[in-house]
Amino acid sequence: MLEIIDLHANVAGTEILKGITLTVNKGETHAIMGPNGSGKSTLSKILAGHPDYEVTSGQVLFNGEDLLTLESDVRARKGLFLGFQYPVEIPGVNNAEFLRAAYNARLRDKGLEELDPLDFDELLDGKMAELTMDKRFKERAINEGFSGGEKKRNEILQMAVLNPKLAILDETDSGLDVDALKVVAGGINRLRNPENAIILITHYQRLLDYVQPDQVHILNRGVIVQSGGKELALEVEAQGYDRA
Amino acid sequence: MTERNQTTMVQQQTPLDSGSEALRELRAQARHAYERLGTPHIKAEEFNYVRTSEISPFLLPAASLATVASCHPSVEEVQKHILPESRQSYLVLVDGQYQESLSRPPKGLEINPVATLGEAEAASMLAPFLLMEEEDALSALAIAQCEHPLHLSVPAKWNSPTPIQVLAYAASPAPRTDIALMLTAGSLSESRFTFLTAGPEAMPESKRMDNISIRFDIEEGASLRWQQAERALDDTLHLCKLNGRLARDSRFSALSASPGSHLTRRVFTFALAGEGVDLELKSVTAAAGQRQSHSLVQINHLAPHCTSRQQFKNVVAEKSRSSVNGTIHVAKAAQQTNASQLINNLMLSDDAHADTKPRLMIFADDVKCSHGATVGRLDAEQIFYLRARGLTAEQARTYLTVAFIEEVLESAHSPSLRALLESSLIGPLMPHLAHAKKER
Repeated sequence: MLEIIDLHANVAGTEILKGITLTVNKGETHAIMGPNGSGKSTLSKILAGHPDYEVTSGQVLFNGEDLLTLESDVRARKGLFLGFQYPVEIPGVNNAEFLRAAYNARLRDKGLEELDPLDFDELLDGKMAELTMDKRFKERAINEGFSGGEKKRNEILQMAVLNPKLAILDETDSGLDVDALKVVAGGINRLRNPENAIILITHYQRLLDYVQPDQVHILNRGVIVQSGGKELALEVEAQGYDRA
Repeated sequence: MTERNQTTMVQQQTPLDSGSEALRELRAQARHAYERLGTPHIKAEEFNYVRTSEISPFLLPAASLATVASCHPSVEEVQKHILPESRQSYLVLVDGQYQESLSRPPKGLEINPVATLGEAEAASMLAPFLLMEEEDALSALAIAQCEHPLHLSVPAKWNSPTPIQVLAYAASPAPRTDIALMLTAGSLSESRFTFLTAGPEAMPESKRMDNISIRFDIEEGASLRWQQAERALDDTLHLCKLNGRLARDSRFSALSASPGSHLTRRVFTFALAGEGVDLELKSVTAAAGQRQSHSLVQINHLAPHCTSRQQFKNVVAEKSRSSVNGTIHVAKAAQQTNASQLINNLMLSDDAHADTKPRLMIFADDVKCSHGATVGRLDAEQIFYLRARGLTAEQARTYLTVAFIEEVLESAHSPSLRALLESSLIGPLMPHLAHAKKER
């Protein structure tokens, strides 16, 4: 599904990623953990195609296709989803309308018929119910005036609606109380199936109590310093990142 | 003050010399104002930012400009421009002249083609308008030269169930059309108006100018909501002044949408003359290509306990230009005034130009006044967020541009007017939104 080969990248002229190699197969959930500044968010932004991040060398293949040559919206329509660490507020753009446009953009790319507003509304209502989201969120502008937890829940809602092949969730757990964390984790678990993959980027082990990863990678100073099973997350929690 | 050419209108017997004494007086006042104010010049404060050299060729008296018999639009043609909510209540002006046969006025609204009024009627109807001093040369020209001024009277306590549409249809290929409209909102009346300009799809090849002057006399406790939009035309000069006098406890809200033209200049002058007046002025401009749209605002707080709110949203793309030159004047007597002015500019390209000149002149000591202006581009992080969900760069930019003007559009009388405004404002920007350079 995703193959990252010796990826080096700069932000504003400073090298942040210093040779990352990682393979994520269909049906797998990977957790990438690391201290602040280790390059976790940079990796997620690069995979999603943020224009401020410059890849200096290396390769990323997404279902065999060179991901780095694609525009960010093309990547999204091909099934890549980034759950933002800090979802952007967009006043004046309706949450539900935007999501329908995003949903239909994928259908259009696949040559399928677009969903009309009523059918989409039904789909959205179902997903919102799963995430115990108030229906009024549909009428609001994207993330405008949302609390931190509401923004994260909105990211998971978008993921649930768009049903991506690969979801990269950048610190989706940070700033959530335990109840919200359970809801978000439930949303992530519902997405898991043998056909898609998830990368959880997180600073804390706590999320992994609710979403069991197949593999855990420790990222430090721009390189993966250790990979292992889910027990690695517990070790890191107990001993800190310095050990790694 | 800068040098200004003194202009004198050609004096000859024309239809402009006919009509009641009050009408002749109105025209004479306007003529004197035009002569006093002189030919518009960019160096004059009220024409800052405006390419007045573009206006000059159109300033000859209407009678001496080449006139060609105009072809009146058909009923079907007119219907195309009537919004669904106004199908039972619309008035049509062709080249400034009210057309009864093409109109369907609501019951109760009094329609007075001023040139046909008798002496007594004209004197009574025009009295409040004769007291309004004209400080804008172009508006003075419209009043002095309009052959068929129209007066509308909303009777006291009258309530318009639906928005009344006034369609100003430009049929004549003449270089300039002068429109003079006067509206009296009777005390405690409540009315809504939509003012749209239209014309045949095939326009004459040479440039032309619409010169519109609209005066409002808002009586005590009356409420008037006025919404207007101009056509987006590259070869037209669109000049329009709204000039209102608001009496005690009246409410006036205006929404004006401008996609710009070869040269658009809108003037908003309001006198809050009695206590407790509430004025809201919302404007949205979205100019592409080489279009220009300029606004001059003068809000005069003359009485205590009045509120005025202004909001200007300007989008400029490619080589277009916009400006807002706005003054809030608070007289010494106007204590407890609450006045605000907010101007937001969205620049879609490096070659576009937006000027803002907010100004407060406060002579009272117990008031709350604020003004602010912002200039910005589309937010790169917002664009990335939308694209990361699969929207194309064009879709993302369009969504964000619509969102920028949304706050003004949402005050439209009806969904159909809103849709019309959105398409006339955003439509001309689309080629640019599709091919804009990266935001960073």
